[in-house]
Amino acid sequence: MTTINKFISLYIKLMIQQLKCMMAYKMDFLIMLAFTFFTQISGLFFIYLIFSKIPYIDGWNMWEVIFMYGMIYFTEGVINFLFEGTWLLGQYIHSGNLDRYILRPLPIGMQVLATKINLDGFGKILISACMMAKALSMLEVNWNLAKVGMFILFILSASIIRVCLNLSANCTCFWLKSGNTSFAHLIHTFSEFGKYPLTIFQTGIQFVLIFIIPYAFISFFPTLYILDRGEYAVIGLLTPVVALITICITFVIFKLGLRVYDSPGN
Amino acid sequence: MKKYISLFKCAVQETMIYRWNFFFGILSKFAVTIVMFYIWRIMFKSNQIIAGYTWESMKVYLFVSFLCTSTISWNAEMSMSKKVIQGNIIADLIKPVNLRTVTLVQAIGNSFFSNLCAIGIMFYCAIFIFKVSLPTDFQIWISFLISIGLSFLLNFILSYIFSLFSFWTSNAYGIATARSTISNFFSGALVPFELFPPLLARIAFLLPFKGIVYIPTSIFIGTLSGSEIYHALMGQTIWLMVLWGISNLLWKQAVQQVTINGG
Repeated sequence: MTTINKFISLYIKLMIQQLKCMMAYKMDFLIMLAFTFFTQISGLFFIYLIFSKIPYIDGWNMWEVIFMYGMIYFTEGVINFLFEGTWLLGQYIHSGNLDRYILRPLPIGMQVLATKINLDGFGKILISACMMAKALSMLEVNWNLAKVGMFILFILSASIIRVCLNLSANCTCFWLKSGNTSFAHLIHTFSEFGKYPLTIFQTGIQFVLIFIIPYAFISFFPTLYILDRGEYAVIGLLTPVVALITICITFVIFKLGLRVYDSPGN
Repeated sequence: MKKYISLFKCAVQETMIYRWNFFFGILSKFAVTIVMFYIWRIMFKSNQIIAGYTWESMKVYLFVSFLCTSTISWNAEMSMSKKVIQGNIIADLIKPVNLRTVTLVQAIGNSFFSNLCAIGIMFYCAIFIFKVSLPTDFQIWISFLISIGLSFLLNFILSYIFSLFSFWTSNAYGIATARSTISNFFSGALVPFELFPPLLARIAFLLPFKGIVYIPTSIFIGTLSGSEIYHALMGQTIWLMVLWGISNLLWKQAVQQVTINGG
């Protein structure tokens, strides 16, 4: 328990330091927020353009797609804002800087996660939260206490799944030794699949998105459950279970990676 | 000339050192296009014609759009920004080579093999799996190839101009994202201009980005014909020259900027 407390207080300290860095370059910070906003808006605009020509994609209307879009961007924002360190793992392995972490009396995985924050992510979280709120207000949802609770749980689980996916993907750097994040980047591009209803894809792709790279549990199944759509809506309840499974798998992969790690010296 | 060729060879060799990264890099180019494919497929199931396109012509559009945009990479903005922040740019300023040409050569070299592979895979899929119908007119192929060459250069010069902004701000990621968003949108890579609301379509036709995807694609599909093709190619060339000039001006400003802050 004290490890967790130590971690949290360390984490907050690191975040504040990063924030101080960011604030030193106020212009950059504002430019970055503007860019993030601009990118999100154009993404939404794209959806709007498509739906202006046809009212439904496979039975899904615009606001439902925007909601899924929001879930994907929210989890992306969580990675960028809180856990940007995962992207740096490859560099640290390559340069031998990981030794610093190994020598410290804290879990290495947690240190990696806490390495960097990127305020860009905060912008993403804010904007996608607004997106989801607006979408939910335009859709007819049968809200009850259980559903609100599940919704919060979904957001948590989706974020966990996304962060674990990202960390596991970055762990390939332990084996590939190039310090290059191309595999993690590849997995990141797959998030595009999560922005739209799973049903439009062929069975093979659906299989991958459900069982191997579970983007379906980040956006699609939670959305099904919240909107009470179809007989598969109940699968949404599995989302927290999937989150737990991904934590375990990521844990194993990271440990295996550390075992393979032999430092290039520093 | 020889020095540029050896720089090119270096850039190509760099990409081949780490085979897996090369492989993953190629795969990550496909994700967006694949998703677009499925979206359009579903949309065309309920409508025969959307904004003047049929499923057949939309498949061709996606195919050519991929060809034109697969050369985009983050490297130009990020590497330029890194050089500025770390100060290595001084070394490049001293060398007896034109930095812009060096960047161009390296951009071609870095993407050479991965583009070949990606394009090869896409051609195979287009012809044998998706049965895309290709034009048979020899003239169309010639104008298309010229247009694609111009498209690549336009793409490069626009990316280069954006990367010069890193002399003024250290946020390379933001610049790269902005460029890619604007470019994707106004080049027609995401959605053909026919789907834009009228005001946006007019803006899109005025900007240089249309030369990256929309013009080569329209030539290929046949939306443009005869003298229209000629005008489009002239448009691409003129924009290229204008942007080249702008990049020169920006470069002079940028170098002054560095000299003032350096020392």
